[in-house]
Formats: sequence, C-alpha cells, structure tokens
Amino acid sequence: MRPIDTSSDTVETGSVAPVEIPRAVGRFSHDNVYGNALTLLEAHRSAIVDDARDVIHLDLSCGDAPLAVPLTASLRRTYVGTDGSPDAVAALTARGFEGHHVDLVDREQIAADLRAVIGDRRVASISLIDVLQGMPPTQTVLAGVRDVALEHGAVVVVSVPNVTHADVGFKLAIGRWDVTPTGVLSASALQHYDASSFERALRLAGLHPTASRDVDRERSDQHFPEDHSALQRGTSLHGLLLALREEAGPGAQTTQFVRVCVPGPLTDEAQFVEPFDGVRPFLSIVMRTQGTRLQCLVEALTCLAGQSNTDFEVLVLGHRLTVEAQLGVERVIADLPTWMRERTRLVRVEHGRRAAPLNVGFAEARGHYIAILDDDDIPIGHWVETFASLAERHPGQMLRAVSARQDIVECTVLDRVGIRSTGSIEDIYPATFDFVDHLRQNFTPNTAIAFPRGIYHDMGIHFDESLTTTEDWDFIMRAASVVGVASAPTITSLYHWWVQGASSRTDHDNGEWDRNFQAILRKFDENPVLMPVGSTVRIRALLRERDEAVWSIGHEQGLARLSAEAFGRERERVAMLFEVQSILDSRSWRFSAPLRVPARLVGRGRRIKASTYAYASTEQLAEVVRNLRASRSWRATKPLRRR
Amino acid sequence: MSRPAVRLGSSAEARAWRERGPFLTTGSTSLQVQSVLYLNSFAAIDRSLASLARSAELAGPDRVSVSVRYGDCSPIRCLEPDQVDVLVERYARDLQISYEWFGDNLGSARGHNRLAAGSAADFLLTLNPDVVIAPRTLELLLEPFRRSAVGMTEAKQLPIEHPKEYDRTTGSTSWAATACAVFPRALFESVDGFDAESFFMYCDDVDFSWKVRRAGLMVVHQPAAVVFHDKRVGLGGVWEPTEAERYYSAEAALMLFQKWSRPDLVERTLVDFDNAPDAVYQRAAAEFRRRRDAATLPTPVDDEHEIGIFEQGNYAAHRYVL
Repeated sequence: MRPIDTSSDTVETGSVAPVEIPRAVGRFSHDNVYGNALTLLEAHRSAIVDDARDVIHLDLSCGDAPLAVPLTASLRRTYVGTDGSPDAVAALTARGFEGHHVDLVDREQIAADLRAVIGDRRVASISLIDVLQGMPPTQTVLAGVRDVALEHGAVVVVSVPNVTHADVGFKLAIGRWDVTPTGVLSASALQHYDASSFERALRLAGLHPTASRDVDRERSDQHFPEDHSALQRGTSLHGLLLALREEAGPGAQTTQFVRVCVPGPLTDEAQFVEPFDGVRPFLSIVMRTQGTRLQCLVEALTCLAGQSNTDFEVLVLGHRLTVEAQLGVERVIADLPTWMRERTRLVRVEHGRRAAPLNVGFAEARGHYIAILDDDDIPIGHWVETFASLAERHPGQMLRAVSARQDIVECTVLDRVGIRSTGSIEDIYPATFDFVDHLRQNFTPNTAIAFPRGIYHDMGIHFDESLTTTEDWDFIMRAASVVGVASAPTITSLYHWWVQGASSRTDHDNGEWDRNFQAILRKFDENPVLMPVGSTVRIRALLRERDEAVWSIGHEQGLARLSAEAFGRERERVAMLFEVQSILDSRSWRFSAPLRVPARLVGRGRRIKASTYAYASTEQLAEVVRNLRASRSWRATKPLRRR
Repeated sequence: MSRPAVRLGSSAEARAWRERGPFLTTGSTSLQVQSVLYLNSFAAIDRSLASLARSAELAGPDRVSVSVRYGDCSPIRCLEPDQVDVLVERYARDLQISYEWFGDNLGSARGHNRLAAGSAADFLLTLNPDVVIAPRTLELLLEPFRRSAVGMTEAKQLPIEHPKEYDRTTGSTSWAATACAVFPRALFESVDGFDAESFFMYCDDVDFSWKVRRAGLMVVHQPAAVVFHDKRVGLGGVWEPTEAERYYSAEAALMLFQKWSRPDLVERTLVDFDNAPDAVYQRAAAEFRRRRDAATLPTPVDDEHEIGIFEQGNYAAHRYVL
C-alpha cells in the first residue's frame, strides 16, 4: 500500500476550482502498486513507439517518483515526472530525472501543460498512481490525459485504493469507519472507489481498461484494532463475513486497483449509480430445455398461460440445442399467444452441464424473484400467485411451496406425441421447509421454490457448475442460510417423474450422485452457516429426541440384561428341580419307600412329590436335594446306585 | 386386471354412422366454439379468447372458420355490451364472437343445447369459459375427424390430468369431458344433443359421449391437444371438490345409473347416500326420489350394458386414483 502524504499544494486557474494534489512518498517494490504498474507497462509495450527515438514515460503527480529508476531500467524510456509541488519537482531533478511543475486542473489545461512538457518527443506510456481519489468527482483531468495519450497512442496506467477491502467493509458492517492520514481511507481522499466505479470513471474519461494487476493484501492498513472480532481470522464472524464477501465478488483482499488502459471514445454513461427505477416483473421463470421433448414444453407453457398471477417473464434456456431442436423450441415459443410470446424469450447456452443454463438464466432474469421450471414440470394455476403472496408477507426470503410427484410416459395417439400420466399424484415432500432436515437431503424440488434476485445478483451466490447432479440442493442451502425460507403448505406444482426414457436420474450413475452428495456435505462445513430464526428450538428438540433415544436404547439393553440374568437363574432353579425329580424317580428312592412309611405313620414325615417344589427357589431346592441325599433311606440304598 | 372394453353401438344405425366415412373430408371447415358463462370475470374470458384466437390463427383461417358463442347463465351479466364490443373487436381477425345473456341458470347441458341451436357450423367445440387452450389444440382436435368412425375428440386437461383410461394408439375412451371437446354438429343433432332434462351440471358429457358411442362412433382422447383448466389438489395430492361439485356430481351419478339401466347401482347408491356423513349426498338422494315419485326420471337405455361403463364408481376404467 502506497502511503499518501496529506500535505498538498493547490493551484488556482481562472474560474476552475483548485485541485488538491496528494504527494506521493512511496517506495518501489515488485509486488506493490508501483511494481504492479510497471509489470503492466512491461506487458503492454508498443514496438512502434518504443523503437522511436526520444520516447518518454509521463508519471503524473509523481511525488517521490518511486517508478523513476525501475521504469527507466526496464522499459528504457525517458522518465519524465510531473507534480504540483515545486519541492517534489526539485527533488526529482536533483536525482537526475526530468521533472516539471504541472497542476491537475482540468481537461484543456492538463493537455496543454503536458503537450508543453512533451515537446516533439513520443509518449509511450503515462501513469497516474494513487492520484484519482484525491480529485473531486467533477474532475476532467483524466479526459485531458486521455487526449494526450490518444495523440501518441500511449497506454495509461491508473491506480486507486479499494474502499471495499474486507477490513474496511467488515468494520463498517459493525459501525466503524476509521479515516487515517494515509492509506485506503486517506483523509485526503475526495472519492472512494470500488472496482465498478473506478472502471466507470476511466470509461467516462475515454480510458478503456485492457488488463489489471491489482495489489492484494489480506491485511490492509485498515486492519485495526487487532482484536476486532470481525477482523481476526479465527472468529466465526470473520469466517462468515469473508465467505459472503468472497462469494459476492472479487476484491475482498485488494488494497489497490491497478489498470492499464488504452485511450478511446468517452462514454456517456451515468457518472453515479442510480437506484433502478425500471419496472421488474415479480417473477422470472427460468426454464431449462434440451428441445427433445417439445410436448412437455408446450404443456408447461400452457400452464403458465393459465396462471392466476401473470406478473412474470419466461426465459427458456436452450441447453446445447441441435439445430433441429432449436427450431422446434423456437416454433413452440412463436406459437404462443401474443401476450405470452412477448414475455418469453429463448436464451441459448452452449457450454457446461446442468447448472450452466441456470446461471445464465439467473443472470438474465429481470424479476424480483427467480424460479426454476424445467420443461417437464407442471405449474398449477396458483403457482405464481402463491409465491407472490409469500413474498408480500416475507419480503426477501426464499419462497417455498410444495411440489408433488407424478409418473409420466410419452405416448403416441393417432400419430401425435402426448404425455400420459401413469400414477397418482404423490405428495411425498414435506409441507414446509426445515433447514435442519435439508442438511441431510434435499426435500425441495426446484419447481417448488423461488429465489430473491439479490441472492444471485447482489450476493453472488451462483450454481456450482462443478456439480453434475443435485446442484439445486447446494444452491438452495447456500441461499437459505443467507435469506431464510418462507413456506406455504400448498401443492402448487407437479414434478414429473419419467417412468421410461432418459432423465437426470438415468443420465448419471450412482457413483456420480454419491460424489456430488459428499461434495455438497463438505461444502456445508467449509464456512460458518447462518441458521434461521427458531433453529435453536429445533436443535433442542432434536437433542432431546436423541437423549430420549439413547435412554430408551439403554433401558432396553438393561431390560435385556436383566432378562438374561433372570433366565440364567431360572435355568439353575429348573436344573435343581430336575435333580429333585431325578432323586424321587430313582429306583433306589422308590425301593426305599417302605423305610419311610413308619415315620409318616407317626406323623413325622409326609410323602415327598416333586410338584411340591415347583415354585421353590434355587436355594430351597438345593436344601431339599441336600436333605434327600442325607436321608436314611437314600444312604441305605447306596449299593443300588453303584454301577 | 382386465379392463372393461370401450365398445361401440352395434345397431344398424350405428353401422351406418361408422360406414359413412370421415366427417372432415374437405380442405376447409367451420367450427363453433361455445361456452356457458356463470359469473366469469372479463379477464378470464379475455385470456381464454386470446389463446383461442391464437389457436384459430394457427389452424389457418382458410382451413377453419371459427366462431365463438357465449351463453351467460349468471344472475347478472358477465359481460356488459361495451365489453362484448371490446372482445369482438380485439379478436375480430380470428374469431367471430357473439354473446347472449340467458337471464336464467340453464345449467351446462341446456345452455350448450341453446347455443348449438341454429348453428350452421360443421363442428361444435364445447369449452369452459376459463380454459386456456394450447396453440395447436384446435387443429389437433379436428385432425382425427379425417378418419372414419371418430365421433368426438377431447383435449387433455392440465394441470391435473384426468385418470380415465384411453387407448395408447387410437385414443379411444369411454367418455369425453366437455371442458374442451369437439364433435360434428350433424351428430350432435342426430343424438338430440345433451340430455338437459336429466342432467343439470355434471355427467351430461358422460351421457353425451355414450350416446356418441351408442351411435357407433369412437370418442377419442388426444393427449397431444392440451388445455389448461384450473384445478387444484390439496395436501396429500387429492382433488378437493367444492360442495356444489359434490352435490351435482352425486345427483348426476344417480341419473346416469338410472338412464343407463343400472337399477342395482341406483339402489345401492341411494342407501350409501342416505348413510353418508356429508349432507349433500342425502340431499342428492332425496332429489332423486322426488323425481322418481314425480315420474320425471329418464327412460333407461342400453339394457344390454353395451355402452355404459361403471367401474368402481367411475364412468371409465381409471389408470390410477386421483
């Protein structure tokens, strides 16, 4: 980052307001703004000009002239520096370089002054490093530089600081704007530029960028305070902001935009951004077709012609159409009633896979919302109306209704091809969008959802063209995380399922579906994810369910364990009962029965039966066995049991 | 599972109709589109006409001359005279539009009969007034009449396709819905048009289709010819009829059973309706009995059950449950 001295000279010329000229005090480095400017100049040499004698490079508002030595050495042009500060000019000439006092006043003055400096020499290149932001928006100096460049066929290198560097934006998002003496938010800056406004300013002056070599620094001079949570690389907040910023467009880490331009016509575009005041349709309908099933396209367009809300446009994305298919699609569109034809247009897409036409369609879409309707889908009469009603109640959110599935085949009746449904309408998708559920699988056919245009056009969230399937799920989730989803539990479309013939299901093998699935899951975990309001309730409920399931499993296992123990004890008891039974059934016990009769007669004993002990415990049965074996009759018959 | 055959009449008259050759043999023909209005909006009619005009234009005005007749059954006019003028002028290039306010709710059958009376067109097309017709539908519905034995053609309705069975090659089917159906005027007059005495709102088309088949001619469902007829389904993917739809279809079902010689179904259905939790069915049963007592029921036909198809409560075999 080139520091800019806020001390500046002013010049007054006639009635033209003086322009403050910041004075450069930077140093050359191969990868700073000077190094990048020189690299651009090296890449844009002109053989004709450079072969001429007395070829010069003009460095305007050169300050300490950091380019002078390396440029002279590299390009072998005569370095000529100009500055509004007599001190700077004196310092330059003291170093042995040519220097002139030139003020940046207006188009005519700068051109005249530069022509005087140039004389009869040839100008190969001109540089304005870190100058433009110090001039007011009404400046015409740049056009004067362009006039001189045009006269000589010279290229012009211009640089400005990038006010949209992440360090500036993240702090501003949290309510902080730190103007510093020099740097990206220099106190001397009269204008701040992003890439778009910078290039517009160049074009307005007739300087047309042909190449860029921006200066990228993760940490700019605005990277303070060090402990700011939005700036520290390890924080979730920084991760989220950076992910959003980088998705929205390049330049998050660019400190300086550096462009090399060729002089050309001045454009007459608006100098400043105006809010869009045109009329947008509510909905842009992006309809992919390969032109192979024209009857489906006819059906879908007929259903659109019957919508209760007709505030829409239709973009038919013809993907890799053959000539025959293109003619077919064009005929279907040409057949439409005038009011439908006027809002329907064919956009051909000759590249990419399934996601490519979606990106093209979204880019072309003019509507506040954008919906996808493939050519074999069927919107019911309130498809647009339901989206519009949701948008009214939940502006800016994604809009989700319900799509039901129906099986179809092609059939030919009396030589005409028609579509024939073969199954009931199957309401298989959830009635509302659940973000957490969608982290596992997509439950929302793309026909059931409409996206706010800002997702694509402002946030830069595009379909991932590296995915060959399920690109819609990935897009839905990235968008849902940012804007949330409003649901209407209403079936508003039919998602057709081809029973025969080719479809995305059959065009890709299981391995491919699985690879894409895993890739999407990985993407979910690459960056922090914003969850919709109410998600903590949902997560607590899931955790409670998990806890209950864990408890339930433990409880079941415990019961099973208890059962096993009880079963073991019972087996032991039954074994003991069998032992009693086997003693009582033994020959020796039966033969010794007379020995036990006297005791029963005097009331000292009773007849022993195994059934008496049916409900006895293991311990009680063990005691019975011991007593039986210790009995006089059992001992007396011992010889009978010998084998 | 075997499906009931879609048979055609076998009488001498029927054979004569079949052997007369195609209805459409010349290079040009005329078609009267007729719609019965009931509290329809100007916007809906206008949009329907826009699609119809485009379809007529594509069919070729030198090949098909298309007139449109509206009969308004509403208690208050759907179209004021100046609105009629707007539509007449807007679509003058492709359609000759006329409008009549009946001042009475005649029902669809009587309304269509009234509109057909006095027509000189070769073909009649019954069209629900809010239906949006696909660009090529008119020519696709007329095309089958270049073949012999075709007496009626029907467009496929979107977004909810009717599940009735049709032959995948010939399109032959049990009946055609008059939401968008075409038939020769001569045939219409020969079979005495719609039975307005028996049917007020529903099943007049089933009955008419069966009269066409009884006359020996095929009813053709042409899935390539599509129209949008705004029908919706509730969660679960089930069609949810309104109370009026439930009442009039129940009343019409009993009349259809009666007329097409199925007294067994009449009696069973009356019992079912009497015990139905929904009061509209009890009302329909009561109305039927009132007419029976008043001896105003239609005289049964097709006692051999050659034409009428009653399959699990439907008037055709169905491919799936809706």
